[in-house]
Amino acid sequence: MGVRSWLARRAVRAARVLVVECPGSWEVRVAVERAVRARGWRLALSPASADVLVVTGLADGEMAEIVERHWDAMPGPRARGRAESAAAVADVLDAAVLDLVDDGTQRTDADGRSGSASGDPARADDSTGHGDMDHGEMDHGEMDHGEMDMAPDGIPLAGASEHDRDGLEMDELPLRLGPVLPAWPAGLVLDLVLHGDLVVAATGSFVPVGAPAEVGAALVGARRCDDLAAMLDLAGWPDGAARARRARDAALDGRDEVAVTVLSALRRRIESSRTLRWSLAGAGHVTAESAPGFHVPEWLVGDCHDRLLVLADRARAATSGEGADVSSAELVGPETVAALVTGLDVGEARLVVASLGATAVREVVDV
Amino acid sequence: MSDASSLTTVGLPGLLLWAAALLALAVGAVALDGVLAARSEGAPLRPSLTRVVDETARLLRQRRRAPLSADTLVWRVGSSGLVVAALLMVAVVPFGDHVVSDLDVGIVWFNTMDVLVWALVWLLGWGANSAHSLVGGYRFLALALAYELPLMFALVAPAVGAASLRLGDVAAAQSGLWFVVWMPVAFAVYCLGVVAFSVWGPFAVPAGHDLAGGVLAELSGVDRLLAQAGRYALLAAGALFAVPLFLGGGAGPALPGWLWVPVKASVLLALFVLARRTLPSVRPERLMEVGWVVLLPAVLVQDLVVAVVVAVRG
Repeated sequence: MGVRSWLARRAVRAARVLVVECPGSWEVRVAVERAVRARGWRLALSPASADVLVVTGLADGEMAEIVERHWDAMPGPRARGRAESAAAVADVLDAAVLDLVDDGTQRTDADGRSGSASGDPARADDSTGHGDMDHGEMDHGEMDHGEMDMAPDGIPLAGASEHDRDGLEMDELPLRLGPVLPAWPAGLVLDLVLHGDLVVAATGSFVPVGAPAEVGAALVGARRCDDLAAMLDLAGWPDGAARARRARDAALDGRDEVAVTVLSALRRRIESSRTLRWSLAGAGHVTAESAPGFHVPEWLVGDCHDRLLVLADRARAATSGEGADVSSAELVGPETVAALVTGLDVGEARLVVASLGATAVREVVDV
Repeated sequence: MSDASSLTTVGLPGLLLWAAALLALAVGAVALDGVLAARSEGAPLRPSLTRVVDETARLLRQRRRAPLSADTLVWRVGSSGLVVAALLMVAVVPFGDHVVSDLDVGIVWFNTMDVLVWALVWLLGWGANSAHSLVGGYRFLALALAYELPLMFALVAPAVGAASLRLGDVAAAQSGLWFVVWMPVAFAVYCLGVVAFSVWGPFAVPAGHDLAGGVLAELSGVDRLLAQAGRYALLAAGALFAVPLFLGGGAGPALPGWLWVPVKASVLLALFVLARRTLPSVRPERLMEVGWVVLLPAVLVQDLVVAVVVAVRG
């Protein structure tokens, strides 16, 4: 017993938290991130690596199903909580600690689960198209195999492709990106068809939510810093991302001058970093014709490095009080995003989405 | 080159000591990385010092969970094999006068192990039956195509310089001048190869943030522990192997030879860890260009220079 509880107490100090950000709960998600960091915990990149699931905001309808799927994919010991406001975050995490170290709770939880492993949530989505079928049954390998020969365990096999690029036959692999992904706009879903890791077709949408998310003018500066941090995370420069988050936190705490100082220094480092320029140059190059049938806002033209600089400039402008609002000319709709990532590999597609900035990716009513 | 191999072979029981040295270096790398990360994020430093213990406890306590229809055998071969490959690499590294196995083809042995890593990381990506993992596997193969040939030719330079593939001879051949001094290109390419096969730093894209962890995305429990330990162990093994290869082996003032080896290795390992914080990720297709157009010719010229020097000298 002694060893077991010692193990539990040690384990909980390195807890990993998977945050599910429901649209409109940006502030709460950031509060969770800050609390996680302050405790010396880490954020999880995938449900398999997570101990704690924290849902921020209100998860209803389709979002609630998605949350359940991710909860199912967590190995356990596991704990979950929902934070509706930034003030509630500390209590949610404290409760999660108690749940995690309590062997009794964990054993009951484990006993209540089906013996078979649940699927990769991203994959489970694909098997059901656009999420309008019953996911619960598909996930647990309880399907009747006789009915779905092409889909052992409910997962469709990679099919032969109709998109013929070069005369070589390729398998098609469906992949759903979002809505639960690190450094990803809340609620955005991209359904991709892959050849290897190349996106040959994509459709974009938002998980339907009750109230449309509006960005309060007071938060725009901090949000733009967060967009910059997400982009730097995906560019694989953790130190740069940490600086952008420091600026974000300063802006949230009302210390705008600190944020501006940090951002100015960061902007200089981004511009002078040859390795960053070399790695991003040419990635996700967008021209006015990149998304046939959609309006491409002018600021998108260029490659990911150009847009990274735009993100940095906007963050600095917003925190220093110039250009504090999000203009409608900046917005990019989900269908446009899907058109932009078609033809890129998955890594580039992720970079492109991040380079748009979560603040700008919105349901655009008037195109 | 004169006093050919006067090494004492300690055999398999000694492997435990070598494993302990590898573990100590890997733990040091985890701690250093944790402290650097905490410092840059403004997080408390204390938890990062005990993170090795805490994370191990966490993963030992966590259940193993496999995705639906995962090829668990293949997947677990991948996750557990990395540590083994790292240990087999250091088995031929002499600590002073002692070595686990005094292979006369030690350098080729190392090369074999690093090619084994190709298979292991690919199996890790394939076995999970998850799109993110699979794409991570593709990415590793793309990186490996770019770094492997330059790495092989980088390994050739010290072998030619010492006229031997035995690590003891290579270390002994540097009594006058360390190979790193007159084979800087080979050393740089070697370091790049080590960082790349450890899926580390700028070459961590197969396990990237954008793939939700890529080849590591679906791992949990002891499988994750082994895979992560394997990455750090490979990094440490690469640093240890560089000591007889380029850094004069156990030669050094004051300290005994067996101690100089881990001391030199830990300095190199610390540099590897620092590289992660300062350099952004390299997209695989960018590395391909550099690997074959710049690094490969450069390291071939290095080999040529070494061969000419050796021929002229003797």
